[in-house]
Amino acid sequence: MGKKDKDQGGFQLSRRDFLKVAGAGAAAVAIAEPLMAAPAAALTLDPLDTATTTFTTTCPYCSAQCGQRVVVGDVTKKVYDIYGDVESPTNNGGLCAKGAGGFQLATNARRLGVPEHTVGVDGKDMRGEAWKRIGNGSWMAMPLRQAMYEIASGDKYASAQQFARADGSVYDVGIGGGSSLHDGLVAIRNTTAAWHDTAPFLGQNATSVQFFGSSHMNNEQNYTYRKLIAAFGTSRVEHQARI
Amino acid sequence: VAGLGRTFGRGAMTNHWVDIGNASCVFVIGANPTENHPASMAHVNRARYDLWNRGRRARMVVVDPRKTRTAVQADLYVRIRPGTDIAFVNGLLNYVFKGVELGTVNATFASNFVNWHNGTAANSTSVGRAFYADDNGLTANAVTFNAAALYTAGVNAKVLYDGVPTNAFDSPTYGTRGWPKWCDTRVKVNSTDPSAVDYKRVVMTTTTGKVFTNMVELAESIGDPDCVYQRLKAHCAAYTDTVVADICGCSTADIAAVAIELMNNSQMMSDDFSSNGFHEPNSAGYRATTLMYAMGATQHTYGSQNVRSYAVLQTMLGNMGRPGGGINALRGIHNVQGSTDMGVLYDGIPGYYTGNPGHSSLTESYASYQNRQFGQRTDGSANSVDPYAPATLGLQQQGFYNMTSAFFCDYRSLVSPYAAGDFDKLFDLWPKGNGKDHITAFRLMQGGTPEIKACVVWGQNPAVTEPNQSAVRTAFENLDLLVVVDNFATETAEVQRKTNGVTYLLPASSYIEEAGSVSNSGRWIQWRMRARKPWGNSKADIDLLLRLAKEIDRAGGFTHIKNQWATMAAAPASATDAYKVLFGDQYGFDPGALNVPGDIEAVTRTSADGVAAVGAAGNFGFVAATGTVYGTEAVCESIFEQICSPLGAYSGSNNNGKGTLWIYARAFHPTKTSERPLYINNNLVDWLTVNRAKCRDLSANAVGSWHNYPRFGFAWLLNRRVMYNNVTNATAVTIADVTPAGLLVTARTLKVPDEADNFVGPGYLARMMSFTARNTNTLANWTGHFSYRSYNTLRDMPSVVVGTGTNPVVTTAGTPHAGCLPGNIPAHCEPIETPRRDLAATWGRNLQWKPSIASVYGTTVKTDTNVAMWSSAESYTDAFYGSGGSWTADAKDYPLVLTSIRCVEHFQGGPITRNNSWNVEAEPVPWIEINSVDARACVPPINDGDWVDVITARSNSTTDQEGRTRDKGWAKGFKARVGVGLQGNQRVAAGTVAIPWHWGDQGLGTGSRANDLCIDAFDSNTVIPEYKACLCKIVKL
Repeated sequence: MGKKDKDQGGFQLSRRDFLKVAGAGAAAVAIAEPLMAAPAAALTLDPLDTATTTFTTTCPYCSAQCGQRVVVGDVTKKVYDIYGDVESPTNNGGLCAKGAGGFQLATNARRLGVPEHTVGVDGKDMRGEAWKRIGNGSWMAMPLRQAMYEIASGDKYASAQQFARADGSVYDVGIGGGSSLHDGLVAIRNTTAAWHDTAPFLGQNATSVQFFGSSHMNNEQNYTYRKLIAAFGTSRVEHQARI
Repeated sequence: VAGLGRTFGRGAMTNHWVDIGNASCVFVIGANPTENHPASMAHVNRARYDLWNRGRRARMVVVDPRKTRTAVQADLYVRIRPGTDIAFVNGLLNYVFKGVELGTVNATFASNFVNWHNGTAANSTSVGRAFYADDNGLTANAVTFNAAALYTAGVNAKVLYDGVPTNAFDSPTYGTRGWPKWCDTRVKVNSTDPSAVDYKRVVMTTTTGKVFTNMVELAESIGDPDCVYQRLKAHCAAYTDTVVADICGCSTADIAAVAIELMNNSQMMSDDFSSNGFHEPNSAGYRATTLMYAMGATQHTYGSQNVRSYAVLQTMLGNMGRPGGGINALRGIHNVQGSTDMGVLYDGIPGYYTGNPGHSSLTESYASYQNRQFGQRTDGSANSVDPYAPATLGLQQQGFYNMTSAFFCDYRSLVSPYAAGDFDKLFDLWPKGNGKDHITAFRLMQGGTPEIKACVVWGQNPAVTEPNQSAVRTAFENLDLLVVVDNFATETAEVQRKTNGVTYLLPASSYIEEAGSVSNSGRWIQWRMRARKPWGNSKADIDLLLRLAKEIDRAGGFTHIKNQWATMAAAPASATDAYKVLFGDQYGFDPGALNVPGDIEAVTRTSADGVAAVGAAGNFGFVAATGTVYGTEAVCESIFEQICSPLGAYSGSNNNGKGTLWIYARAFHPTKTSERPLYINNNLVDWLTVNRAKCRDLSANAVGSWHNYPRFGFAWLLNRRVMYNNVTNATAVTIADVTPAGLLVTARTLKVPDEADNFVGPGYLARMMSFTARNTNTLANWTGHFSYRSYNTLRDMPSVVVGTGTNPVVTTAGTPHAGCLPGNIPAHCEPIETPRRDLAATWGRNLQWKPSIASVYGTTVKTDTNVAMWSSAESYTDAFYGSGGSWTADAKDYPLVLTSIRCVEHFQGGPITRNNSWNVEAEPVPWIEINSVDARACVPPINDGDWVDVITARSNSTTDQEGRTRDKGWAKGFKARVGVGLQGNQRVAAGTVAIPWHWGDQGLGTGSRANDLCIDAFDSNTVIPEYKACLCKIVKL
């Protein structure tokens, strides 16, 4: 496996380049070459960016966990490139058809909460902080703080509540009221027959809330998720390791 | 995890990705790494094309139902019918027995095989022998075990465990035996029990009165009729060439060809065999076979038995614990090893403890729980240690102590142990008992008064990935509250809901905006730098998690914890603010008041170093040696520090001693000077790292001739890169030669870091001794506990009465994870839905999942007619076999075996790749692979490119029967890919069809969901469904 892509030699993958790689994936490995050679392409920086910084991360797909490098503009924080890390002993700079598309994943306009996700992308304006839908209704954007509050405490507001938007402005409750009133996670947990807040039977494994975690999260997030679930008082958690 | 964990001790890839390059043979069974783990093929090819210039070229053997993109590259490919791995492996073992006892393969193989299996630990004969203590990460203590000081009633301990047996195959004398060095083939099986549920046990009592109740009795040689080797041989006798060829649908020559490849590439045929166990992969004559498996093995109702059969094979051939050998489980997602390490499972907590505390009893005491981890050590009797003095506990036990503190109290202020009464109160805060598996959980969301009313789905897409989607979607529809956190609006987020059901959707940031550590399949822990802040309004997972924790506290969710603190003699500071104690003070972020949000970007931390100056030539400068990290990267490094700090005595000023996850211990060092040295070129060199996950030292000295890269990331346990080699290279292990980083240095062979990997497998004698490292209490009291692993702890046999002769009859039913029932060496059984009813009648099916299903559905759920029609596992099995699992004459006509597959362009349930236009363009629609024989036999015939409906007892692929999907028009069926050329050379065999499961009803690319069709019968050991084999019929659209 050659070192074709030295650390400074990043490239920007075009769709055409990607398709070449995707089509040749199996053949490339058959001849013991890097999974993907680096196509040469001009790197066009935003005029605001006088420099870029390269970070190391790992590919978000299979458990080979190939090394990747991410090139980000110093000012705009735009992602200019994601390519295989030639120094990773696992992949020596190569990436497969999935990993080579990491750039599109990170910059995908279909992502939730990104400014690019306007109604023109897929018919839904998903630039917001959080969303709620009642029954099979449409998504309603709401401040993240309000969503978090309602998830934990429900939307049966006993009194007026104010929630801050990301920009610091204040948002009064207003959506999802009326017939949609629901309990939050804590009240639902407390419907568990065996739930007690005091000894000697305190916190003995609530059964009314189910959690699913993710192998897509890093170790620290998984650890904290498991901790939160234990503190919440349940063992009801599963994730992709079963499937 | 179940197959490997119960066989070897840890459910993890035993070697690592780069190590595959050391192999002389690559045996791929139940995996398609070319498409699903493409990076691994570079290492395979490095071995095959000798890119390390060793003068040998590795062979590649592939056994799989499909002629995959991996199989077409193989030197030898054998096609077997889906779900027949065990029969095939047992057939291979028969060739091993023949080779050993008849010398039919090679005299060298036979001779070395006997010597190896009769081998005795090199240090077995010395009184006061020393073992490397495998769970001790702090000090390299001698673990002394003087057999002469032991005595037993009737059996002389010295005879059993001291001395060297003769290396004849069948020695009739009852001489000294010595502790088996390599594996348990020489251990005696309890001969009074014909179903062989356990080893034969003997009780040992030390002269000081300490008791080992479960020491195993050893045979002098593998010729002893009561030993494991002979039992295995008897078990496999039924798997003659003819029988196996019939079961697997291969030829007898196929079995022989694979067996010969494997035997020729076993340790027995390696030129380092006689070199005192010193592995030399750089030699041209070095031989080792690595076994690669993935979901093709695990996704069966007997998946853990499949894996166990691989483990038996590799152990018999001496391939475990060797570079280029081992069993490599190719896990699915980049951090599935880490998420499993962190116990995000209903029966887990971080660190592979035996389920949740108190799972056996609501009132189990702390000491009792600790004793279940590692024997009776903390029972308070004369010969035990104080369970409330963590520094004296074993590594695993202390990790639990610290984790309990971090999970339920003020970890940061832990400078000395809690008062015993206070710690008991913290222990009581662990949820009691385990949860429910995913299959069952979705059933519990159904019906009029469901047990589960709310569900939080964080980074998963069950509305595509779970089998038998009808049951899953019925469940989601019925929830009062559903919370989805993801990058995209997934199928789960957009799932159909009842009128007043409320769904929240929160935007998680992309992976390049996340920071923290991830653990790959080979247990390497690597650091992910954060390339930028989360884009737009998306938030990092840790940010969202801490905000949710804050809101749960605000809603009174931690009242039970605060109430408990109020009863403690020394309550934590700020005991009225649970968030602050449990999260804020520990990780440095407070989300703030309702209308004044906190900003995680304001959190900063001095970046921990990743690489020291040593080996600067190999330091490529991508590690922030100094400087500041911000936001989620700062928070995550604080959490990493908590998880990975060393265990041992507490330091008041830093986190030394306070690590919470024993398997990750020492991946982080709060103080540089606490780091242990590394030997480079025979010189002791300080490795001044703090966050080892950041290490990227590629200098030649740090790579090692085995290419283990001990200074690239960190591998649990204790940076061992090849597990279970049982101190192979130690001819005279003395304690002074062992460094705590796992580096083994002997006067004879100073060859580190290659030898950084000596790991004594659980079950080995040293394991029993290991917890003595911190304590003068030489031997713990093991009364009532298994000090040596059980002969078999997996349920290996189907629950129905099967066969005669050597096929044992097992009729005991059990509940999943209730502590697996004793079983036998893996035996073939058929998938729940099989086209070979004749074989199922003889060999049985694994129906161990049924009791739990019945108990779950009981009367509550099954009475709901809408539910019963689709979600009763019994009902759709009955559709094939009639009630009770017996055959009926009017079984429906589903002639084809359906197996699910993956492709390189898409990932799992597809929520990521089906939103990337590049991936969608490369593979836009789901397809079905059909043999030309089957395609022609269909009426009307199916041509390549036709659209095909696939129908199983659960559903079809073109209608949404229950109307449980909001968006319509996605279910178009599968596009036919009909095989061309010779029938046997086609992608799938006649009688089998294959479909990818990446598609669903949302995203840029949509298509029929394979999991509308797949069966949700599961392996009772792992709760992994049988995605790889069910029955279907196909119709041209």
